[in-house]
Amino acid sequence: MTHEIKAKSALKVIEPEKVKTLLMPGEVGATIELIVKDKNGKITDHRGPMRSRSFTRQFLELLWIQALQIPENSLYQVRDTGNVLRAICESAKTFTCDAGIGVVTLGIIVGTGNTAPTIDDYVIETPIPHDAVPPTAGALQYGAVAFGAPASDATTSRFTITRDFSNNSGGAITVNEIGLYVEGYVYNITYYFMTIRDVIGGGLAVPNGQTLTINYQPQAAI
Amino acid sequence: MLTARLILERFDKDNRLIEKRDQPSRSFVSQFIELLYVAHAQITVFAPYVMTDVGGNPRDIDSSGDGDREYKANLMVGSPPGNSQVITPIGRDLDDRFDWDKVHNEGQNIGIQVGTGAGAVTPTDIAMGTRIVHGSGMGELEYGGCEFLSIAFADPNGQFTIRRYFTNNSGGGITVEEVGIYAIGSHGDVAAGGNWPFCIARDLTGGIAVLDTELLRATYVVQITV
Repeated sequence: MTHEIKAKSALKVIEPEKVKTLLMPGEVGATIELIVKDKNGKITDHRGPMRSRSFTRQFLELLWIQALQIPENSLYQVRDTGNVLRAICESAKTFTCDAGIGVVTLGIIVGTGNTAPTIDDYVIETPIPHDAVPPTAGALQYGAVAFGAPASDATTSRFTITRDFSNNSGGAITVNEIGLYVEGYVYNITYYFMTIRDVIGGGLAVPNGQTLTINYQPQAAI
Repeated sequence: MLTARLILERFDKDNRLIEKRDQPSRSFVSQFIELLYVAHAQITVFAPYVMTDVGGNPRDIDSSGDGDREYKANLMVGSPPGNSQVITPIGRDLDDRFDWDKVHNEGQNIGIQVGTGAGAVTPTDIAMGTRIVHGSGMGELEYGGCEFLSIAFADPNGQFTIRRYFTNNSGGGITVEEVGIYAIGSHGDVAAGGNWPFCIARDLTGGIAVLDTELLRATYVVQITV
């Protein structure tokens, strides 16, 4: 028996003036939007956009590595999602998060942990696994990560990172935390680092048969 | 959230501090977000993303690497002084002179910049309003290296520091009205590859007069707070 992942990421163009600016002037951050739809595409829950609170230290470290161009003969150690310090350098892969279907090492990741974020968080507290062969209790089907191209209005510049999570587990699943995993690199080896972690107050229940879409929107406001 | 402080300090020829300003940086602009987009989306050399460089030219930009090492200078801000050569990897092997020609730049074109333009900052600014050129001629400042200090963390905060010295040997006073940051974006195409600076931040100073023989130190302290 084969199972097909039916989640399909889709981006809609939102007129810039209709997008809430949630950042203060001078801030670079992200907003999160959570949308739950039933199998007919009807929205059953919608949260946000709201401020993402939590760039972790790995975001700043990867930015520092790339901006300073840390070389291969003088590596800098960053803690990966496996809680191992990895010595890496500048590369074409820094910040990459274009995960495919079912990939849980990269891109937007969801979990059930609800411990408040700290700057030192390096992994989702309790990851929700990918449901490769549904129905698997407590698992969600991870879609591919999609991107919306950058756009600017009078005060804010932004782009969008999107991923769908389909629940065919047989029961409801409550998502409490969301993270972004990206790549770092050194000579032929790719490592994975968490650059954002947010906890959703009260959690968000995704009923069986429904799909959660998460939009992370990195942005800068002047 | 990520924020930054902009600190401007003026020193006399004997290195005595004679003026200091410390202000919030207001202005990471669109090209910073665009370079982050190129990185996150792993934009390929075959389907590049078009950005506008500081000269107003459209440039294909990608985040493709090549070979085992995947060197790529995208987001590069650190740089040596003045006319010093910088090698800016573009994500492809450097097989011959034509490839090497694509990875040259000058230190002064990368990192913290100063200018005399006082026009309001917008998210779509692609360059300094009126960049002050590196040199010791009239109206010019000598650009030092754009250096980074160590990165440091103490929950809930983390920060690193970028700074650059500008020496006035022009023979007259120069009023710095704007400070910004230029970062590299690159394209690894065999024929059309290259690297170009892009303006990722621009701030107005309100005017800081740097007299002949004086030194201006411009510092960005980049911070995140959970």
